[in-house]
Amino acid sequence: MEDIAIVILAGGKSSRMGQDKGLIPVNGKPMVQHLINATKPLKLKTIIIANNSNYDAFGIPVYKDIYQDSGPLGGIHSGLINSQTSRVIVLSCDTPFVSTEFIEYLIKIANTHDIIIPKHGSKTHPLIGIYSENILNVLNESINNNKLKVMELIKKTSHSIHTVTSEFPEGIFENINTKKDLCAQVNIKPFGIIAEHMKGIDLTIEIPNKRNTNLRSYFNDKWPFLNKISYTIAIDQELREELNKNEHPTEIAILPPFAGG
Amino acid sequence: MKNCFKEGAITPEFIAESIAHHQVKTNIGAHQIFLGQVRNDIIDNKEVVAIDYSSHEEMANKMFHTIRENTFDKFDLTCMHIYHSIGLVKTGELCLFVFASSAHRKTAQQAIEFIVEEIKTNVPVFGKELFKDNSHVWKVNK
Repeated sequence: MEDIAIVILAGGKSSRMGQDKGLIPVNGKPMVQHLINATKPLKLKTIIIANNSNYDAFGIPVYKDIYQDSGPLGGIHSGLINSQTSRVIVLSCDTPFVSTEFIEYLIKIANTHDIIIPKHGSKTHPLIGIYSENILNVLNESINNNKLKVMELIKKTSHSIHTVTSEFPEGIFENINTKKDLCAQVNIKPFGIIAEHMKGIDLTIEIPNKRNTNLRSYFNDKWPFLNKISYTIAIDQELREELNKNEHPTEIAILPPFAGG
Repeated sequence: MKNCFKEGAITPEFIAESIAHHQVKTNIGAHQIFLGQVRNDIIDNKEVVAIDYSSHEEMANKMFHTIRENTFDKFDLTCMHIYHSIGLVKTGELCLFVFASSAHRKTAQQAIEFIVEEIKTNVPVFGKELFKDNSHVWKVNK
């Protein structure tokens, strides 16, 4: 039996996003897929904890919470039980940029403590770390007493908080929690022949803006007829085609060739 | 932001009045005027009877304003005006009126050419060329 396994927590209700977080695409892939890709090179047993059968599609064993509605603690509990290893590396769907190198690093620094979690700058990341089966008693007790805060549990155990500020970029811990973090809600304003083609299409759309987005390729994919039409794009009335990271314009105009005069 | 659009065709009366308004400006020695007129293009054996102009008006007015500023930077004009139609303009009617005035003729002549080219290339105006049978095509500036 292996000593350590990877547990990807996807179970959250995610009411803030209106759909199951891990399945929301970021840079073209569901968030959970980013983590699966990062863990693959490590060749460790990997499982997903989720209460939604849509996760079965990723080709990795999926287990439900044993304690329902117990938040991340319920997920860690189910992970420790179902992994059948003495320790697990816990990752969370809403931090999809955690890298292979970082997970390797976690394994390397693992010591005799029962919980090992990283700290970057002033921020501690309790849901990216190593958890040992030695905490199961404390974990059961916390859940039964409805004390579901992760940091409270950690304080009750033998733990180590490891500072990695100089070793890793802050971006790998980036937490994606709300739809606003992922998308810009914009009004599309088509003109001329393009307005004619887009009659009846919903023109309030969400465009991913977690990274810079090339709007021409985005539009051509979304509305294939545009591949055959010559047009320019104006973001808030400025002619340009790249939507910047975290930009929230009020309108994006799609302009066919000009014909004034 | 000045609105350079006029609903429907630009009338010869409007243009005449515009000229008359400039007679008090006695430092002007030359006026140059460009008038765009809707042509009866024949497309696939069908004759265009009108153009229905539409625009991103706010963006277009900003662009007209920029063109105006660039023109004053480049040319020593006394004044200039741009009017463009929005909506339906029949063949033979006027859809664009550009008016530049300066002390001497060359300045106004060169300015007019610059302004008209800028409008054709940079202002988001769209033209639906209508045929008698109610069908249409979309005009593209050459």
